[in-house]
Amino acid sequence: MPLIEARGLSREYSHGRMTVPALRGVDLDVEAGEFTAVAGPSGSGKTTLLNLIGCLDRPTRGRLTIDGDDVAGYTPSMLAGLRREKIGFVFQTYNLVPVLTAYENVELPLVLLGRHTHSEIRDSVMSMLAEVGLAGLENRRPMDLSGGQQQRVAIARALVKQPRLVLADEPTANLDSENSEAILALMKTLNETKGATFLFSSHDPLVIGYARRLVQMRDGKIALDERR
Amino acid sequence: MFRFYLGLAAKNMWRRKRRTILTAAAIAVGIMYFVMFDSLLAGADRDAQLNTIDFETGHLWVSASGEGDAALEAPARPALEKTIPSAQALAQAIAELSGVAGAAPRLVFPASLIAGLDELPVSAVGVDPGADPQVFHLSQLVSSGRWLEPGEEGIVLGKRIADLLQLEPGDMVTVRTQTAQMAFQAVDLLLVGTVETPHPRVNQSQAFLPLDVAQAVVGAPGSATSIHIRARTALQSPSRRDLGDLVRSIPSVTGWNPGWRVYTWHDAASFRTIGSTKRTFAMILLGLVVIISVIGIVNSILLSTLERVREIGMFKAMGMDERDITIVFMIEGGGLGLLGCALGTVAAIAGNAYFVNVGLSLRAFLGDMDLDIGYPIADRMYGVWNWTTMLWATAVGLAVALAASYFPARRAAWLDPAESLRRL
Repeated sequence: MPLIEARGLSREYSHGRMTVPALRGVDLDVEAGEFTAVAGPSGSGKTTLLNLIGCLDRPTRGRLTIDGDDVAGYTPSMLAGLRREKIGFVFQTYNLVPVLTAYENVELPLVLLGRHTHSEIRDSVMSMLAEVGLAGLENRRPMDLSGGQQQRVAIARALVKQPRLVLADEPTANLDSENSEAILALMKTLNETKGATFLFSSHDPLVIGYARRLVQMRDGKIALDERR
Repeated sequence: MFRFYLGLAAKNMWRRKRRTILTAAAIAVGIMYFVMFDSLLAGADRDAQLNTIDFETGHLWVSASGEGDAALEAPARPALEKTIPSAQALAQAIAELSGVAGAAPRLVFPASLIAGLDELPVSAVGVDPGADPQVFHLSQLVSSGRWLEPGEEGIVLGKRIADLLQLEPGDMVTVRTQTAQMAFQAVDLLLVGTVETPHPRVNQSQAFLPLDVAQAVVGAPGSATSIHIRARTALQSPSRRDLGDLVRSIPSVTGWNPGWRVYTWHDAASFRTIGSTKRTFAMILLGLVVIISVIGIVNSILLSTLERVREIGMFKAMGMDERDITIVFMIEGGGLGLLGCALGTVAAIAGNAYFVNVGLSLRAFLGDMDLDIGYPIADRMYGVWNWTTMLWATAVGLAVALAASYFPARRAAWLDPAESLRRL
């Protein structure tokens, strides 16, 4: 059974009397452990697709199953629970909480899960920060870290709870090529070592080159889906 | 989790130091004003009660007029048809009741004081020079000369009257009034002393003469308009309940007329006015504290949510639900309220210490003029320590802060996560 199963997924936005289709009947299966890039030009529907799969948005039409659960009838609270338990997010602009240290930012998902002891949280966070190469920087606030380091914190935050799925929307768009490559290498390593499924969007050929599967979007539809 | 939210809220409050300090300061000022005004009004209440008892009513009084404190004021002309006959004998009988420390008759009537070319309307009070000090404190507050002696044709004036008429002990003063039969009557009396009390009405409008002289002047021998009683109690301002037994036992004395009534000091008009004034002031100030807190907190939390839309989107992506986000922002609002309340309480304690120990001079505000602002307090108002009020003000401030932060917090909690994350 695929981890993600999307059938006829559509999303339309209303602007006054106008209806703008952002996604038009997308069918997509993603198996557990895949490392998939969603590519395409701006406005092709990459972010909309990721938002729907991440349960941050609801489809206008179509069916979405995550880890065997059809999320159509989920309440906002159930969707929040699903995100809390199974999905990690990495954002283009990192979206770290500026008043919290790197440690506290990574700690947040575990605190929200509410089933770990203080020492378990500490061990998991420190180990995750070490894995992303930030050992010794746990007490720094985001403003005291470089862009690359901030994205590493964001990746650590997404992975610390060992989610089934990691969604990354343009994770390297704000980074230089050296940092982009380092982040992609890190994501790939974590995919291989942790077994987490990665689905990330980008229009950067460097990023796309790292993916083992490429889903090419165009005008709200999948134009190409190839495994490498 | 709640601990984490507390830490997050504290850090976010500190993130916008200036806004946090300004909002908290506004709440603090509101609470400080409320506590200090309440303290002054409570102090004025306490002093007014004591002044009413010590200079106006005693703990209880008996009136034949049936109109409560109307018997304490000089009517347009002596209402001699409603006086208490054989008043000294009745006062003596009341003084012998158990629980009574003293009883003194008074005959109050309107009069004009004439000194040379000057004439001043006053409230003339015939007092028993021996019995009156057992109920009232006038004789202890003689500012010049001495207190009255029984049988003498003398008069004691409130200090303000003596100053206005430029009289000193040893001067002669003419008291002119009308008898019950509307006949003019005048008597020359020797000014033996002046009294200066904390009760402005005594200083400004009362002239005291021996009861027998007063009775002769108005043609009502043996009569009084009221009999004042001081209860034998350690309480300075006994409640109606404390005085209940006496109120019931006084009508049992020999010679009692069923048409007479026993009143307690609570029935004095001046005290009733203070009570309602105090409540009105307190409510207005509490209302201001609430308005200041609501505006400050709503503004602060609303700005905070607007600035942190992306952060809210990220929180929701992490799995926080609407309840969690509401809690995060309400803790911030509550924290602001708590900080404001704490600052306000500290400031209120400091300010109130001044009011309790030094007091607030009414003359400093109103100048050296006739001070009768409806309170039986002559000059200085003192505060009191009222910890219950401080606790109430803090509780109200905090409750208002939480309530005020609820709506912007709910607004933030229901933001669409995908839309929030798109926001720049």
